[in-house]
Amino acid sequence: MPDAANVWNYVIAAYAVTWVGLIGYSVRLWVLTRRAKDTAAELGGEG
Amino acid sequence: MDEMKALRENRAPAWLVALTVVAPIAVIAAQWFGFAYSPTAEDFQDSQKIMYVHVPAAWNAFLAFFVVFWASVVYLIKRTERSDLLAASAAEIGALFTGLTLVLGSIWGRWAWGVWWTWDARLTSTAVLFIIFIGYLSLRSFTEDPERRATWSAGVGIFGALNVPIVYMSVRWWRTLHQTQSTPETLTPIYKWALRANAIAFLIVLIVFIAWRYRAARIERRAEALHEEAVLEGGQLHA
Repeated sequence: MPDAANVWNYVIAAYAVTWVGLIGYSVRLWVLTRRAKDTAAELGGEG
Repeated sequence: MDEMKALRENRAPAWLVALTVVAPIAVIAAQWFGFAYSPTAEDFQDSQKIMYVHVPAAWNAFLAFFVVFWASVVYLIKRTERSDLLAASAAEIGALFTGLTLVLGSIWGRWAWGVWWTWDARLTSTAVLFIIFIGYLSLRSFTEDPERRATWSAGVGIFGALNVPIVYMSVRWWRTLHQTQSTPETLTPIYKWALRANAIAFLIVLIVFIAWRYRAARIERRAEALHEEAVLEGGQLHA
């Protein structure tokens, strides 16, 4: 079995990747929603 | 252009706002539960805590691809814009969760197996699934005609989703390195509940992500359609 001493490095890396992925995608969704509303405003004559 | 004004001022439904608030709390609570209450495993030691994010990401990716499959079939039968946008939204989040599954599995594999990657049946079939849906998203971005884009991507979406059972069964059909699925009977109760709590938290995230992605796509598509209608009719564009 691998070295138990450094297992926490891998656990922390895994959770960091998870949070970066979830937060990163949340930011993308926020940007996409803003952009969609901006498009509606522009096409509606308020651009 | 009252509808355009409504789109601009479109507020998310109350259930979606509520779930958006609940989602991060659920993820933090489930992860805290996994860390606080599940003891160090004898065989995999504390690396088993990676399973609380790796496995829920995989399960929810499968669910997202089931939505892609269902919405794509509905599109091919009814040709509704909503089903096309739902399939596209679910495909994007499915690809995100599959990417997470691969990276998290790779981190665990580096510790447990000593390698970041190996051409194991489960890893390879998951990578193929990921590549198919990256292709699906590329196809959508390169195809301009909406009807052609929807029809082609429905075909690719159905084909891609049909790979999910292959990924799931790969550990039984080809006995390579990746362990077979655990079942509630083979897991110690505390591990089982930690896994379930994290799976439910990820399920809430999945629903929230798909709903917001679908909503953004729908606002944009409706705005473009209304604009085209107004241009064709030579009508008043201003609200």
